[in-house]
Amino acid sequence: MAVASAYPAAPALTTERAAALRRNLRRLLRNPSVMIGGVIVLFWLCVALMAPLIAPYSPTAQRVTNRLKPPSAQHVFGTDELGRDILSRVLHGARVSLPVALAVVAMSGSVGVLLGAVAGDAGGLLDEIIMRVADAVLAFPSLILAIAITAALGPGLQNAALAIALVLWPEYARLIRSQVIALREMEFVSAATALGATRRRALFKHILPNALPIMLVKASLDMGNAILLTASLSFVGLGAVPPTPEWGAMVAAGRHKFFEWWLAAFPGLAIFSAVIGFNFLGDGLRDLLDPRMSRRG
Amino acid sequence: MSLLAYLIRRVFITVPLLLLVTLLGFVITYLIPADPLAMVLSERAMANPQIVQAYRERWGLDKPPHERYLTYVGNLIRGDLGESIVTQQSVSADIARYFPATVELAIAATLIAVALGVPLGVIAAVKRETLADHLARVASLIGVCVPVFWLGLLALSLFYYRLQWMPGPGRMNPRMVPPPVVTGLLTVDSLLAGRGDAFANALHHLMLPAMVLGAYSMSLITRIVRSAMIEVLQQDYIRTARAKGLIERVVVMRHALRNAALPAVTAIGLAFGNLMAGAVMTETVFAWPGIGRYAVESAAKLDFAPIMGVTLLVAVIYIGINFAVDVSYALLNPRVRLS
Amino acid sequence: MKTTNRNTLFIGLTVAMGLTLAACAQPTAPAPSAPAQPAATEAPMPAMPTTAPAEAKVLVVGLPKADTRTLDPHRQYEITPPQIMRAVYETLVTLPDKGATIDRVEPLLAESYTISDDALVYTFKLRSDVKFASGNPMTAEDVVFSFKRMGALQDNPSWLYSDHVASIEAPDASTVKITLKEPNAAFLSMLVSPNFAVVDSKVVKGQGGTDADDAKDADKATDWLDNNSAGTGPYMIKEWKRGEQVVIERNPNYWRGAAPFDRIIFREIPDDAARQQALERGDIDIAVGLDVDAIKRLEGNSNLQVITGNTLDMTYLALTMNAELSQPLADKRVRQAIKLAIDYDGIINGLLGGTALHLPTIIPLGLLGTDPALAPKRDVAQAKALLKEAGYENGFELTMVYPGERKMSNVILADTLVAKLQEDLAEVGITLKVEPRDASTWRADYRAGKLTATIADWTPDFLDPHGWAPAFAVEGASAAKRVYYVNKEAEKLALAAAQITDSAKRAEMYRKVQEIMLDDAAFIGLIQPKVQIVASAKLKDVIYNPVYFLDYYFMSQ
Repeated sequence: MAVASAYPAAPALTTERAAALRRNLRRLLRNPSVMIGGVIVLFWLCVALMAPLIAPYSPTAQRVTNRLKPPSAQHVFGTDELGRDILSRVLHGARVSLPVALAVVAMSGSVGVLLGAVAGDAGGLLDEIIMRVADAVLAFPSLILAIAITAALGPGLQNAALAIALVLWPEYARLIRSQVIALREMEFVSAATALGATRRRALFKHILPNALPIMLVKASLDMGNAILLTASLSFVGLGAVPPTPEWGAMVAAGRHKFFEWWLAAFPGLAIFSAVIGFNFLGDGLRDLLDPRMSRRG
Repeated sequence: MSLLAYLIRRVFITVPLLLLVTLLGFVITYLIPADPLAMVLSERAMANPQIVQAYRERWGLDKPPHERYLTYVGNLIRGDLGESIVTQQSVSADIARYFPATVELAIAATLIAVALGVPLGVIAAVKRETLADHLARVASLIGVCVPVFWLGLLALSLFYYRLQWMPGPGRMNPRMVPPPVVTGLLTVDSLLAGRGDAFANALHHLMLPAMVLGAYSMSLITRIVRSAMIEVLQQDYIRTARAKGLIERVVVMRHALRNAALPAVTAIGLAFGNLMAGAVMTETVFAWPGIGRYAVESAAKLDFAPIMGVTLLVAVIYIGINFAVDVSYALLNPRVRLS
Repeated sequence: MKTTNRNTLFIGLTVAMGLTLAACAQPTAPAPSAPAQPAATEAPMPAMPTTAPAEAKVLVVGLPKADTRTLDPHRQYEITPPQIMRAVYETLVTLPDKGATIDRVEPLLAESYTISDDALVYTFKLRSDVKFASGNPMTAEDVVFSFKRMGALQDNPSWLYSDHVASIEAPDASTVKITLKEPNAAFLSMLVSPNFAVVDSKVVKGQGGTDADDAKDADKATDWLDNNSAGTGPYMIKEWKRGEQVVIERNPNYWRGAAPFDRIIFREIPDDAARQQALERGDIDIAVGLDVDAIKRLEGNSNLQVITGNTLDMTYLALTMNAELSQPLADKRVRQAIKLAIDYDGIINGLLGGTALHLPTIIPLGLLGTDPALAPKRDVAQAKALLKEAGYENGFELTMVYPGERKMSNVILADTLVAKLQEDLAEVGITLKVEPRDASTWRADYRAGKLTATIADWTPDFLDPHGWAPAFAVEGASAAKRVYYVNKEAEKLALAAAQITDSAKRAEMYRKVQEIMLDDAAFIGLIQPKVQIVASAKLKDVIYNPVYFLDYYFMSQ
């Protein structure tokens, strides 16, 4: 594992660290995957931040006389069944999908880290219980489990986000747990704890910084995952509630309108590009962290 | 660990896992105030206390939740997945009805994925770091990232509505008399009945959804075959083979590919979970009467038993396939130890 | 009223007939069962002789996603089953003019009927020439079994029987006497419902059916009835593939003479665009549930005909009378102002392209005692005056919670309708704050009486104003309680009108109920949609009616 071999770098001196950082940054920028992914992700982040400024119309303003108009100079992506401007809705959609994905990753990440750390640290029965629950979740294809949970919770974007977070946390837990166990056996931690440093301190000081790069890769890939899952849930009517301009729900609205192809095409393209952006970014970061893995790209 | 011990251990882990999931699902459903009866009873019937009471009794909704759960689990252990409030059928019967369509779609998708993914992976590995390799890598990334429901809509829009090359949603032309049911797979049943016309029609209907569904698996297979091939091609015996002057094609086909087959099998197994998830979306888009569409429709109606039934079935298959992959791996490669 | 209503229908039919004639005039029409198919898109069909006498005559009906839960006539209560039920089972009475007339009934399996003056005892004399598909003759015993079974099953439609019937008996083999719990002039119209289907009691009992009081647990016939039928109708159920299709086949023993099609396939094609495409390709003969945009595109196609009929569905605006929820709305003048502020014409002709009627209040047009002239007209000046009188000269803010992106009455997106109302009300100074919700939350809140203002649908249960008036006018009744509607006069009239048999008098009482409710303006009628069905021009007598949807007995090629 990359993490194990990279470990000794962590407690190193700050100047060395800064140099390493600069070196890494240069490598980062030379990697085409990171560049492409980064640009796409940056684009959508900017869109999410500035949507109200750059969107030509309000995402919810209806003009019944203007419904189902094909793309034109006034409406670059056309209009939907309620006469709303699709470009504006797609741009505002970034303000829905990205925060939701971010929340999902934050939730699943923190829950996963917490449970993984507890499991690895405590061991015994608690470890067994946590990891068995994690196994239970991993026994299901994520979308199917997310559908089941959302169906039980009732449709809605918040419930969908919660369901997706519930589906995604186990991998973080596994990751952190293995780190904790590996570190526990390392001498200097034992020494540190012997010297009175709390184990929690060890966790924050050594384990988390060490696991951070690989967590970042995972988080980037999961951002894409979360966007895709949210859109999928919305597509089957379990996610966003109208009139939220959510991309998956917008594609669903175009489902029965094949002659008005622009209804589904543009929001779908938005999902696709955002997901591929995060995947490029994640893949590229992984290549950098683990040169051996790059061959598996 | 011996194979038997491994098997027993897996079963011991899996069964409580599945029960845990049913419990979670049940608790969540119970906490939600929505009344499933409101989904199936009309306003007038809801206003009639006798009918409402009869329905509560009929579906066991009058019993306390823990009792309902124990009944559900008791039935589950006997292989009874409960009843759907919406279809009023046993979930097992419903699943038996819808499952063949999903199986047919999944098999077709896997065949397409293997037929395209393996050669693509091999080419990418052999022509590493060339344009072909980069294209294959980008293509496989696209396959993993594209929302399958969107891909399905685009495919329908293009090949059905515009070009009219492909038939529309559904498994067969409505006017076509379907063959007698033997396996439930329309293509196979058509052949068994000697019905060339039905076979051609069913196959034609199957192609587009199978290609859409297969896109993800294909990408995964391409990726894994590529990296496995690269690893194998660097091995000593390949160098030896090359040094002996064997033609590159022979080296690749006879020596390298055979050794890269194992990871490819793993990839197909790994892809299965996503195949099932993809089937949910593909079936929704293509009006394909399989278990995925059944699950989505039940979800919309707050119908607990079918959602849980499909979820459990998929989990069992998923775990089973992973298990089969592990075992075949161990059998084919003695160096791998089961744990 | 009736005339207008039927005129629309007849215009539709005339157009249809014209198209039919045009289509028939083509000298070399393709063989009926070999629809024109684009050669490249389907598997090659086996070569067929141009004159194929042995080829089965098949009619394929393309339905949207079907909500069918069962095909047991005594249990089904969903939207899809009635048209299938109608082809398979029959009832004592039916609608005249092949189903085109809806404000009276005529005998079908009954030869004649009498109703006691107090509307309490209904006596039916049965026809003697009716046989079930099994060959068994239909007797009074079958009718009694059928009705009692429907009541005893305690399923969705059971209230039709158990709420009304005190006793049912068969004095002799051809007479059925039904005594009601209380006088009810609407009962006859309920008998048109396919839930009152007469089934072959011998066959159904043989399959485990029972009409005993414990039928809800003891009856085992539903599984069989889901895949077979035991009726007197022109067709028999051959197969039901859930989520895919229902196939019915001709009943060779049909008592009115064998039906024209060997087989009718009801095929689910959930995707609107795919259903439209299938119709254009000839894969299906009738497409149900296409939207206005699709129908507009198909109108120029000479191979197709568009059939229009009036539904009894309706969408209305509900305003609460509960002052705790809304101070302004508790004032009748404010509600009246809202009623006068709405641009009904803009909704019906602008948004819906004329595919709906202007519903006056809560009883759909076409039924007894209804009159389109009752419908309010827009009068912005008057609305403003009323608001001023009520002290809201500067307007006020009103919150409207509605089911987001739901198709009201299956024809108009709630959002579109609400946006239009918002525009209209803004003109009189009322700011409508709109809050879309998901359908189940919205429904629960509306039913619990928590909403100040909303739009909602109501679907027919039977063809008599009694299906509407009491529900909306009686204090605490299912619809009335949602807006806290109380008006003792309306309540008294709505209940009394069902207890007399004199149609003219009843009509007058229902008219009065509507006038009162219009004045109270708690329920403001918006639209009563027309239904549009597109069919192959080769089909004759495709007639819509709001109970059975389509009656396949009359349809031919």
